[in-house]
Amino acid sequence: MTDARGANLLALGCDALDSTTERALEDLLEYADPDLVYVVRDGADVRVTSRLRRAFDGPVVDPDGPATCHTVSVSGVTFAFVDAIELLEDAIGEPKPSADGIDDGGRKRSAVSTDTGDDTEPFPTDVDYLVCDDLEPVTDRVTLEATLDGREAIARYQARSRGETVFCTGSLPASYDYVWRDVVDGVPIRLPVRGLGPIRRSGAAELARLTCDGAGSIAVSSVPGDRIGLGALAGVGPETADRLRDRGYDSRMHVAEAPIADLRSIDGIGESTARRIRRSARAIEESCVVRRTDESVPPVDGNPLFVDIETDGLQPTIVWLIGVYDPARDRYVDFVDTELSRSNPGTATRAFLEWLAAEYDDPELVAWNGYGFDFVHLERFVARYAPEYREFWAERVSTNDPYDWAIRRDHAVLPGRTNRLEEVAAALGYTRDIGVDAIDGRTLAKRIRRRLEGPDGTEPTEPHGGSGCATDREIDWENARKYCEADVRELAAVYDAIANAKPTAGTDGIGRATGDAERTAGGTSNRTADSTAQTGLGDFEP
Amino acid sequence: MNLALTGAELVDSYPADRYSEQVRERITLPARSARHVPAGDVLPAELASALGVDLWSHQAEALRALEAGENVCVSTSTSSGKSYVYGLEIARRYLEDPSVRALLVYPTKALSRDQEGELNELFRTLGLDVSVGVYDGDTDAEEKSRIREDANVVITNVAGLNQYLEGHHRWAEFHADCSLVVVDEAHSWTGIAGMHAAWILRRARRVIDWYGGDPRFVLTSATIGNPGEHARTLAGESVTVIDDDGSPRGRRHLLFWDPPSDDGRPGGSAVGDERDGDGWASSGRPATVEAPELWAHLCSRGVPSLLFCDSRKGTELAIDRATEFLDRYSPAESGETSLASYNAGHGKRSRRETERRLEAGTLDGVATTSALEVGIDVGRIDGTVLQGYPGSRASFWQRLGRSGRGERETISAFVPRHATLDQYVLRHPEYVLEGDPERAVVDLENNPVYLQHVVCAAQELPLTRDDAEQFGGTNRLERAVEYGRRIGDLEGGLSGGVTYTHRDRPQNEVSIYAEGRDTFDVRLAGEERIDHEPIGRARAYRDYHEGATVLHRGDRYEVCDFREDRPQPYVELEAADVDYYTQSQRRVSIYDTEVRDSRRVGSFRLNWGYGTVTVRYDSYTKRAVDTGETLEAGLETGVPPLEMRTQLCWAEVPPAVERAVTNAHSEYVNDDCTELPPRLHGYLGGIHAIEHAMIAVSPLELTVDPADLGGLATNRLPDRPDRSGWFVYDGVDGGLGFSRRIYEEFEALARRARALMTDCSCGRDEGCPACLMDARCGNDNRPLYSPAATDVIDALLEDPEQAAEKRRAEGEPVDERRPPASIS
Repeated sequence: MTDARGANLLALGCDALDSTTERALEDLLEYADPDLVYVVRDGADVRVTSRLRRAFDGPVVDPDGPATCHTVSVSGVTFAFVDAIELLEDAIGEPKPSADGIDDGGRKRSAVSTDTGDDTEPFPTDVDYLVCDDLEPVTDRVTLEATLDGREAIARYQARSRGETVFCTGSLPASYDYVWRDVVDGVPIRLPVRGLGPIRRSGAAELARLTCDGAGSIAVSSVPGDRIGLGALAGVGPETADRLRDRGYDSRMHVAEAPIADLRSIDGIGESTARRIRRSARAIEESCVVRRTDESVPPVDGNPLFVDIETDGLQPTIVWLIGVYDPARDRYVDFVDTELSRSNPGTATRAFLEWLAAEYDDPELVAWNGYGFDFVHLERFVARYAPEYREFWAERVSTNDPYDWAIRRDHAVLPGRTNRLEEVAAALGYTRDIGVDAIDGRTLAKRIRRRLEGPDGTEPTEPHGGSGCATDREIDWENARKYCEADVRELAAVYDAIANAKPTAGTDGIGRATGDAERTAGGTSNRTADSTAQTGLGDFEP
Repeated sequence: MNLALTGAELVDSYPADRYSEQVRERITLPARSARHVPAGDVLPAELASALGVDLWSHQAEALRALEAGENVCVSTSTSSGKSYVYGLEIARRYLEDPSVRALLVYPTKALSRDQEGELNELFRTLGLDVSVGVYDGDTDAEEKSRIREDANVVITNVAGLNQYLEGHHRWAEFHADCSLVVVDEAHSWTGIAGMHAAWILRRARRVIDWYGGDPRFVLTSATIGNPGEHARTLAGESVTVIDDDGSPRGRRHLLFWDPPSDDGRPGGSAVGDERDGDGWASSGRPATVEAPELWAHLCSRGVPSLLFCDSRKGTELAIDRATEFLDRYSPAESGETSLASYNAGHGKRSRRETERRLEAGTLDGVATTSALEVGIDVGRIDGTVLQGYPGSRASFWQRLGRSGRGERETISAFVPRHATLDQYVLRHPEYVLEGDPERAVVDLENNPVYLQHVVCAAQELPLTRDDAEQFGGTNRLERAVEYGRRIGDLEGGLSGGVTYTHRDRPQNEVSIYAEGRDTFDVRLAGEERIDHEPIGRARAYRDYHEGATVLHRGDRYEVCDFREDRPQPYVELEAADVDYYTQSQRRVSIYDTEVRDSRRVGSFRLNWGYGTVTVRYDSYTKRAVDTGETLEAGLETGVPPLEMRTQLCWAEVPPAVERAVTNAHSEYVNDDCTELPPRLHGYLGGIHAIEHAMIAVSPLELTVDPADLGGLATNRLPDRPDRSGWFVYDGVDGGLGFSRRIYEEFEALARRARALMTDCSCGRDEGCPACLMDARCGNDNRPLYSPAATDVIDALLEDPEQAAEKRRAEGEPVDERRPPASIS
């Protein structure tokens, strides 16, 4: 995973991990590479946490044992963990905080090695992040009222804090980002609240890795909870993983080298599943594309134009940048809307269509997960903001999605833990050759959204949802364009890798024990729950 | 051939030993001739000549309004060719532009397929190549994509539309060219489903707008009291109401046929005798015997007839009863009488066969459930028999209207059961003959439902200030958005665009028969599946507790498992061949009332607002299906109390009235009410009776299922412990809008409630199941006392000046201590 500055906190819900072995946990930890692991209270399970403690060589904060308040500092960032909101109330309840409120609990086990809290020390008034699972909205749908449990206590804490503390809670998903407000002694107080809990999606929950910097800015990346250890293999769910382990396969490398006949002898694994599992293991272990069929990658015999759009979120209100890479001319072109006009969020789309119609008769666009995102929204924006090109779009433009072709339609297995473009590319050995900071798409999208709403006097003047900094950051357009260019060039490379990957041997090979062909009779494989998870939405960040 | 039997001939020909003056009313409704408009006046010449017939005036009027760019709501009688209005409108638009698209929304999947056939036939007649596709859960993926791309007319249902809106980019072309949205059977969208339908239609409109479509709306409706208002609420657009029916009608003989008592005395349906405890059962011949006999007689005398029953089993039993009757009474020379039953339990093949025989005229009669109430062509049917009142005037006339095509003379009979509405209608024929039809109630006030659709809309397209007008107004929308942001479902602001934050589909959470996210799935034990919508929590607690019987599409099931302790709660049913049904009893408490609106009715204060209602469905009763007799009582449901914040309406009785009525009836004592002070039995029995009666008669004014309402009579109102009064509340979280309408039409309902108690032939002060008693009453229908009730209603309806005068002349104030006493 790409690294960003700050402390990496991995938040885990135990229910997603209850059948996970220690070895698989190690795999997860290696992948997520956290500085600190936080186990959310909801569904916490001592068996899982003890396995975690054994597998992880760093602080693990879990809700077991007596309730405490304590702090942990990692990479210069300070976290306070408050097991119950009453403890915070007690700690800040009096002008001079005494230890009375917290010493009943005492300190936790020594696993929290960097603990600065002490029975006799006052609770620090100025942590960067305060984590408490008691923070939770209380709602009344009939009156449309929502309040935050624990708000008073954190407001009083914030009022005393010199910097701005960000409050985190495992009772809300990691996508949660809202600034609550309160008034203490007549002074308005901002209370940025972030979630730590698993993000729901179809299939399994995603675990959240939060990169928290000292300025209160959090970048969230997600880790699919079901794709660790053997579970990372296509066609392998918890049951099959257990059976594989019983058979002695305890790593993906083992599976990659297994004879098909041996895999087949395991209950519930037939010929095609065995091949599927092994292909997947090879793709990951050998960092290559493994083709299942010898069909050509679309567009067949065409000139692909690689496209990427940048928006302001999962459900975009604007498409502000469209980058196109034409490998035939080795040319990158982009259409950027630096004005970010709210009245015309289709400016970039229109410019793109004008150019496209002028330059190409029958353009063949290629976008990664385009059927799930880019083309969906382009189509919608064309209809609304460039209606005169609707017909051109419908009749002349062909759209292609190599992700859809490879994964959903089962033509190839890709390396990488998820099928996110950057991860597949990295696994294939492509490194981004750009001299700029990698910026995460979600953060960029959020800044755009904030810019769109900021100047309007009818909206709150404070940025929405952005718990990061109180002041807006400028958008570096050049940086964004370079980023987009890197993206479409990377897409072209991945596309080539898929197109150039040959089915490993001849196309007959059914039944051969080793070096067999990767083409199965019948083409489509049985789609198990695992294969659905493999193509889950978790593959994509906005 | 003319109608074989008129009303008088029917009586004359009826077997003498089965006739004891059942005919309580004999009404002849005159024929109405058609008013025609030449098709060429409103349609292009080529369509008019291909059509080959003239239009009825209301069809022409509707087509003219559409041509003028108006939205229309056609609210006319059964078989008045309402679907021709939109069929011809589509044809007219198609002639101008063959790329025209129209969205047709029907209430059910079954109706969609029928209408597809009918439209195809019309377009064939017109010689137009308009393609029609049904797009729903039964359509396969390939066909779906073809329909999205090519079909001019897409037929779907509301629940399906809710889902398809999510993938709107795939419908880009369709939406861009969509110029007509049709909502068929609009009157059927009331209550919770009505709210969902209204929001779903607004979401659809918004998506169509995005792609550049600018559709007109056509709504068709049975006759209701407020077609314009209802259509506007549903579609969010103002409409032109077309209700001047130009279709012809033959002369109709309508009989109110009251089953005799067992010993042959007339008026049996309301004759009751007291049995053990609360046990009340009619000793008359039940409608389930009488109606099939009458129907059999008609069928055997050359009047092909439909018999409408309320369950599948009822249709099968009716055939048995009719056959027994014919064996005994049918004249040998009349030959074999051919009867069949029809309901959704029969396979598709068997139903098609019955339909075919009906059309061919080889069947003399069909006993049916509501399945034949709409849609399907029933061919030459001259007679209809209603086994019981179907619950609304609209349905009453809809069913009767199935007999008689064009100007053919017809005969119909209504056979009342021993039930409140049946008895009321029997005694007040003017109610169905003259009264204004019920008003359809759709309430957009309910916030839990509103929130769901705001979230769906934000997921479909960013929500902005421009959407406020259709989505509850700026203030409410801002509050909903802020709520969504606080709980993390929404992000952004209304000026830039509010969007949904999660990756799942909030549309999946919408269940159009439930009020929010806390729904129960309904499953069948074992391998088989059941086509049953998820249900709301309130309904699950009330009617789907363990041991409850459930009547679903005419089949009876028993609930064998009730599971709420999991992410997706569910109930599990198994088929049950039992001859009892169950009813849970509720105990209600109400607190935290908040007045939103208030008005005076006479010297009373009437309030409407919100309150917290706790309902305990602790026990249930088993009753016999045919007699209603209590078989077992006090069985435990095992469900926890249900708490909801909902809308309610309540009357505060002025202390002077309370005193006067209490004093006047202080001698009445009900020995079973040991927990209530004896001198209050009369008065409390009075306001308890009013609460029951007002709920019982509410379907006479509103399209409401009384099961969705609840009530409480108390001598200490939550916000005014020194006053007594009674409540009527909406039985779901957030409310349904019914109590609001009851608040508005309180006087009319009070009058009907009074008539219900004074006119009932039981003649008992404590009432009977056909007037004051409610099977759901958590206090075993005790105390109920109609003399006190009518006094209170009279005080409510009298002029306050006179009332004050009268009170002054009356006696001393009595004991002011007020022990708490509430009866639900």
